Amino acid sequence: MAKIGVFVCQCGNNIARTVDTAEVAKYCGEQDGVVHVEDYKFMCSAPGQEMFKKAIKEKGLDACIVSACSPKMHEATFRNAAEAAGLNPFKVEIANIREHCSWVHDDKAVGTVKSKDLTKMMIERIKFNKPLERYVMPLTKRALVLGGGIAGIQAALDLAQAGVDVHIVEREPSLGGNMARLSETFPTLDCSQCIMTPRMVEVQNHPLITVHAYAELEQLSGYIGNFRARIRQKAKYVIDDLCTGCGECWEKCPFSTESEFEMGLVKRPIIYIPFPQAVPTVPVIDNTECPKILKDKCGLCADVCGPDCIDFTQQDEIKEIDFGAIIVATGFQLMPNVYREYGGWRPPHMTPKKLTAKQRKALPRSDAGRLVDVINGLEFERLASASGPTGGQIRRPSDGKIPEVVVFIACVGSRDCNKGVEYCSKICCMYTAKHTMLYQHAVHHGKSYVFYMDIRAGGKGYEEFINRAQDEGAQYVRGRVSRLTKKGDKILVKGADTLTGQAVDVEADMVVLATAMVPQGDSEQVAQTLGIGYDKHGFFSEQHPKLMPVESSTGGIFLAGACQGVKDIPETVAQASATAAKVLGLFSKDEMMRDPEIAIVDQEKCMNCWDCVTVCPYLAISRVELKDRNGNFRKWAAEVNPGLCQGCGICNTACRSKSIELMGYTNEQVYAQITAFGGDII
Amino acid sequence: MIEQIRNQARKLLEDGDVDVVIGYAEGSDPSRTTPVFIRKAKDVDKLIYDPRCINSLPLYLNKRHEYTRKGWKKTAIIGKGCDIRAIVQLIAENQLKRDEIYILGVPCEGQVSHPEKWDGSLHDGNRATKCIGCDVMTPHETDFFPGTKPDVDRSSPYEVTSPKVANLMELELDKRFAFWRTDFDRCFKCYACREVCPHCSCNVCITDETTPSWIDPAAHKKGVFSWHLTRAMHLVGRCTGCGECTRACPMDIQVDLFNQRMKEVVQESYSYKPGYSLEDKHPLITYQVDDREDFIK
Repeated sequence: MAKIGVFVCQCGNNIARTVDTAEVAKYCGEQDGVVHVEDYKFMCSAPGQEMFKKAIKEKGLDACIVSACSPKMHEATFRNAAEAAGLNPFKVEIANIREHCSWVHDDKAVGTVKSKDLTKMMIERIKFNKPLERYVMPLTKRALVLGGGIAGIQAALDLAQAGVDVHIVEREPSLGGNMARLSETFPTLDCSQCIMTPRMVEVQNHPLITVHAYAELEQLSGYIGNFRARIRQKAKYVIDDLCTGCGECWEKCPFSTESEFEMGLVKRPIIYIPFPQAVPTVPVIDNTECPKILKDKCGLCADVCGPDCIDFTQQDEIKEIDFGAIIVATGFQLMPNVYREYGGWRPPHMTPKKLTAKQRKALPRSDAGRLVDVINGLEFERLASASGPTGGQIRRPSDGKIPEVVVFIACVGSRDCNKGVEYCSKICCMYTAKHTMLYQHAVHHGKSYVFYMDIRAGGKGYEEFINRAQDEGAQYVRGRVSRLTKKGDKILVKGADTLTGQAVDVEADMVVLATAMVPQGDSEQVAQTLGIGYDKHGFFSEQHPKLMPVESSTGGIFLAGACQGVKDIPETVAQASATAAKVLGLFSKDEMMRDPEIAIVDQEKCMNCWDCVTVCPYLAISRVELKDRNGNFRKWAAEVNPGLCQGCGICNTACRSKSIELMGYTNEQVYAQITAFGGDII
Repeated sequence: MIEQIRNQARKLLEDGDVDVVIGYAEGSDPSRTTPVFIRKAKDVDKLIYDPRCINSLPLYLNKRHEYTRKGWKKTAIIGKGCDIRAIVQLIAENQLKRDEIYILGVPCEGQVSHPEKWDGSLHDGNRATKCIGCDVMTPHETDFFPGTKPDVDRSSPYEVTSPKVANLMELELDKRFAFWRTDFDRCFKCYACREVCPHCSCNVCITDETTPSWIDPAAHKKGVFSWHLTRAMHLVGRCTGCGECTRACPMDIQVDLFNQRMKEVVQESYSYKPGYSLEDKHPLITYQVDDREDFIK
């Protein structure tokens, strides 16, 4: 006979207000197997827990139910208390009579009846609870950082300085990410590259950091503490160890294509480093453009290369490396092609499809339908950057003229449910203010207008920064822009000032769009490779929005920077350091303990349809061959990897033959729980 | 046509390419046919094919019949289109390997709904409902086909062939429930519907489970309802519509009405027709970003 203790918590008045806890305790005391009941004001308080431990010891309880708040809150508290009192922690269950009962009902009679039912269901259920033991798993103390922007760099440096072996995988030829593109940063206007490049060099020189530039993560297997990554090192056609970075090759290369780093504002050679301070300073050959690779013509770079490090026969290389933890820092992009495809900003007669032959002729051929001088924020950064294509002089892309009037439009794509994303991109108010300042500093007689919806400047020194921008001459107009049209060599901006209720027309030389920040184009694919959750926009989901903001939904994978949600640089760096702290916490032990609430397979019953393999979001289920005692193949069956399984239970529902059970939530437990509530419905 | 099949079967058996040919032979009664397992080349003349061959043979390919234990490495099977759908679905569900099976496809003009209705010819009066609107009269997946196989467009949605489904759906919920209450009164849980189903392949059926006993074994309302609803749910996205469950029912309960309706729902929601692809997984275990979610309210 079970010896069950039931502990009903009043939670101050939180539960007691709508539940007669004494009545619930009395009712529970009458149930089969219940030998001890308590009704107390705060079960989670120190005296409450003492009472709980004392009852276990004195009455020799073999299972306990705490009727209180959500198990999310105090399940761990009472399980630990039970362990301290010598009871297996998995013989403790919570009946949630607060969130599921008192907080959702007004009527005390209803609340009391429901609390009785919920607790009774747990009483019947706990009779089938088995004592479970935690698993001990091995741990590889090496971290993988995905993405070499400021988030990845910060996380890698923090980890390496604490003595952890770190590998950074960066898909571009150089570290740096989007921050390397910025000219100056708000709210202090310090030069982005000046604060960024020392970090990049530090990464390169750190003995514990290995940089895999121009490489991508192809596959990830394993689980927390024991991941195995398959990294594809794309062919650079340049031998890393020999290259001195002298620059002979990229200076002599006779061919060119649009520079990705410079946002397509200028051309770059086919053998290239993205920007002069690139780390590592090893050029790569763009194999989609190089005539030597495509049709065996040219090869000039190999001729001029002193150390003879160019190898046109190089192939992609696959590296398999084991890691214990992964930090995902893949960053963001600006909503792509917003000026080309963002319908709202194209008057109907200017869209490429609807142009008349005459209109099309009037436009420059390659830019049909596009107002060339409408640029996005990152393009403006490059124009304003001292190392950018114009050497820091702000010149408009179409004819190189210094713009006299510049219109900045905020919230392009952001806060727009119809054509863009519904969230606020958060950094645009600040960088637009910064842009007006950079422009005013470069063009003293220039005039800048900012069309905005609201100014959101919540941050240290941010509001002051906006005020400073306005003091320095930026004209802020509260209202949206309805259309941009070409007028001679200018752009006619038709907008409204909603504070005065008047239409505002500005003839601008250049328009800068504060385009929405969105995740990288392939973020969903990356999430699927990693097996982590993502939201409808493609941002990676954190485990808990408040209490676990840097953990992904998969154990051992952490999120840093803008891949998780829109962020500015200080927040990104803070989050990156937070992930490093989490990884160090994980690596502080020599082995890991895992909760035993995972799925197990009854392999004899398994009919190997592999539906569980298909549905498992954590790739935790594999196919194994069962052998007889002579080693002959007998049958196939599914097997759960206890390290990977997160106990979500999806496989349980997919399994028609009921061959998979979740420990702690077994069929018998759940069935007992359901039938305790209402066995006879039909 | 059957001569070509017989010749091919004979050749396969003589060459040792297959161990057994599963097909149809004349039954004990002139209106019936019976499944036959041909092991020797001299017996292939027993094979026949005509509109009386309504039995679904893929049932014998299901692992639970354990024919693999007999040491048969490769099995040839005569398949009409709807049976081949079942074979394809078995392969998609990993219950069978494509290379274990040699499919002798037959062109089919439809089957008689019941042997008693056989009067020597097939006509609208005796055609099985599943044969109306069939798009696999020329089978889709075969290793051998007598003559040339014409191209058939199979992209159109699955058609619910029984007008009874539509009629039931028009009824008020309580009337519909009353219909099933009366119909299920006859069910005494012989499980013929399970035994004849080519897709019921669990080693231990959920209804035979005892820890816990999810489905009440008694043939009262609760036991019967929970059995039939569970059976219907377990076949969502997997049933290929052979209709054998209804044909096998000794009490004439049209249990496949559930399956037909579910097939319609799956087709509407996920544009998925089971039994047409060797690789595609059924929609209840897969997720696609553009899946409809309008049922979550």
